[in-house]
Amino acid sequence: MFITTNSVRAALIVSLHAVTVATALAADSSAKQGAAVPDFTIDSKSPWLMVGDELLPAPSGPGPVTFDKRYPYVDNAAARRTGTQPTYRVADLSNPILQPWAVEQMRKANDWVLAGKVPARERCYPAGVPGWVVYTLAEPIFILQTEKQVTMINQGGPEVRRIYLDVPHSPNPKPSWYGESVSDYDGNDTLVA
Amino acid sequence: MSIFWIFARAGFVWMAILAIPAMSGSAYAETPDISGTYWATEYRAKIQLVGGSDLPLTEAGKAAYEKNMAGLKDGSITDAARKYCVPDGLPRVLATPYPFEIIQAPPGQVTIIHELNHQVRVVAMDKPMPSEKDLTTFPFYNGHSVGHFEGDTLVIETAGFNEKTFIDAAGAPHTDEMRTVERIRRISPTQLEDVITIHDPQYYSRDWQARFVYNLRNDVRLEDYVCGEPHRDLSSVAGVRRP
Repeated sequence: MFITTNSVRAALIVSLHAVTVATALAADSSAKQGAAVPDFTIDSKSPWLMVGDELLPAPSGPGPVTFDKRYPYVDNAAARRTGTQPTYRVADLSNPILQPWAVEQMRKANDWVLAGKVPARERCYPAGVPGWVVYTLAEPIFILQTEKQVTMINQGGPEVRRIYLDVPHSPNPKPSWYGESVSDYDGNDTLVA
Repeated sequence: MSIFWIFARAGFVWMAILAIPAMSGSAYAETPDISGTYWATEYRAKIQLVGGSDLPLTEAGKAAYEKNMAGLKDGSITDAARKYCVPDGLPRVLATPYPFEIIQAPPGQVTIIHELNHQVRVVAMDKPMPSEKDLTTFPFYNGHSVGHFEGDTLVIETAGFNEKTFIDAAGAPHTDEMRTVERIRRISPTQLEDVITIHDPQYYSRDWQARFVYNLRNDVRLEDYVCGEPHRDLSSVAGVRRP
């Protein structure tokens, strides 16, 4: 948390890679991990950082809505790297996954940003799902794994999302920003929430 | 040698350190288990001292307290924790009428997550307190915490606070030189106790303690807490002011 320079960040990435290997070795040999439970912990001070600030496309299909190429999106990290001004997103409304009513909703949000106003993202509202995964800005995500629960903490905010293991959904979950997440492990490397 | 390579080499040192439990079994298996979801049954806006005495304020402390109380009353001072949902700070967060979780993970850390203002307290179990320089340079709302177990009791030392928070909802003051020690333990299979000692000689003429007791409530799931939106029903907590 006292790290500020790019050189240190880059060094940490190299360092974390080594720790990842070591943790994997430790996890494989440790009885506390039980069988076939993936370990997403690097160490207590090494969180996960998003690669970029956009939803990435799946191997096939039209892919998620990203930014309108006429208005290039520059996230905070990219702005710092390049010494340019960060921008807010203007959504690409031509994506075929969007229903007409969704296009109209997003057009309002686009007009808001193009008018120079600040989007809701900057008001510290929870991101919800799946926005959570690209809400990190430059902030890291910590993953806390216990027997009954996986807790994900986004240091920005901070925001906390809980995923309950090996239980069914409630009959009538109360609507909430992050919804009710239940999960189990699929194989030895995947958490399905 | 550049700092890049210092960190890169440090990674391999960590690799060696982490390989030790892999060979010898988990050291964490012997750690007392105080994890769970806890919820107070009582709320008091004004902090109650162990022994029942008044706050042992110094002259400077009295002046700060009177200034805070007057400012909160006439609106010249804002209770930012309630208005802007910034962290409550210690020890005020311990008086929370909302539930909280203690998670003994990841290894080497105890994480305390409050529903109120989604505050996250990170207690490092495997690291020393940051240096005075770092504590001064990077003051936090809830301070910097390090912990260890003494028998069945989790002992948390905290320092490096900012001066943006109050001791309690009444506006009792503290300085950024405050240091606290908490002793947290299960006092029954269903109850947790946190006794906190406050050391802040500029505002308090002696160290003093406050005690908080919570019920284990693993039947409760923490909810999203969003500033300005309705929050959970607190009717089960005595002392909460009704709108």
